[in-house]
Amino acid sequence: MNRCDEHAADILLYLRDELTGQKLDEFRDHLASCPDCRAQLEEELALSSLLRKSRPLYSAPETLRARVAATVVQELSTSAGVPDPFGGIRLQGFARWLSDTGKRAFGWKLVAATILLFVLGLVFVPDIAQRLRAAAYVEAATQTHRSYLNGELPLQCRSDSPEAVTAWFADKTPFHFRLPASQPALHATPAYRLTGARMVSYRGSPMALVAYETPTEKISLLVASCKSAIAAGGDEVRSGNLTFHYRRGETFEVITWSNHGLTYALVSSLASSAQHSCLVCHQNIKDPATGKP
Amino acid sequence: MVADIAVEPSKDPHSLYISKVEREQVHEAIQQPPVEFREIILLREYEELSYQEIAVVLGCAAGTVMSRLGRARSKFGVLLSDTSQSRDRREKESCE
Repeated sequence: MNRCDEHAADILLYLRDELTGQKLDEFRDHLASCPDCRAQLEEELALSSLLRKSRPLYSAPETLRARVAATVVQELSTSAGVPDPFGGIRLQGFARWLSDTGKRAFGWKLVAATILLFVLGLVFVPDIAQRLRAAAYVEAATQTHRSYLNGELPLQCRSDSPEAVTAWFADKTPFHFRLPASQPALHATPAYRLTGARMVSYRGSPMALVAYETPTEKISLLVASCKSAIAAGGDEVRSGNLTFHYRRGETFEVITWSNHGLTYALVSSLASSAQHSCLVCHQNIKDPATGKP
Repeated sequence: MVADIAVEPSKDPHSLYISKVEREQVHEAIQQPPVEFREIILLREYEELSYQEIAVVLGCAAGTVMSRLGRARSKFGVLLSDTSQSRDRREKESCE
């Protein structure tokens, strides 16, 4: 074992000021003469900084954590078969630790940390995974719309007939979907117009791109299977049984929703609120807040 | 809507975008390693527990905590490097 191997653990202790006395002096002397360990220390500092910048900025208040801890202890004492949501945290050891008053000298800091693991297992990890999947779909929809605007994704089917576009997709998508036959004829001048469609790929699965345009801009509607894309996050607007998720980026606005096994993403540059974006093309729908058109 | 990030007024849009990308990379990387690595990183970096405190929570020796944390950090370093490279590759491809 060389000198650097001996100091590998010291680097991790040094990061958190847990190295003291003679060990600290020895490590500093070694660091001064060892470029490899200095580089390793820089890498570890960067990793810690990145991880800490990414942690949630909100957490449950101490009183709530204490109540959760008490509930967990009670549950563990009355139930032998509690499922292990984190897939590896040792519940029995946890129960022993919580019930061991001697070890509680560490205080609520440890209780909070342990509760965090349970909360992560039950809520945080699935939620993050879902949000990541939804965000990935929004990002893909935005990229696709940008490529379409730049002319990199020319339409493979040019038609203003919803029936013709629906027929064109029939043998190209692994899922079935049908465009509405026509927009409500309440206005002499339609708010938008269907221009065509093409196939694109998302995570190795086919995705449909339907192109619309208003007098001033182009709009993309992406349609993917719920198996590859989900809608979540953003500002939520409910209309009937549907929940629309609205996100406003630096350049585009994206509205996503799921219905009948398909997930849709509508991308445009319409600078407006979530509800007003829908009202641009669907003036006849009611505002869910006021009940008025 | 509850904000889960802090907006730092001193940062310019590009810096804010970089921070957002970094957060997404970390969250993506955190899903991947085995639970024994994930839990020890969260206890150390998110909850800022000492080795002794982590040993109590996990019910193992402090020496085990140190060796496991070292391996977990190596794993996260590689994962974050991979996600960063794949994102760069995707961005490059989308620009071509």
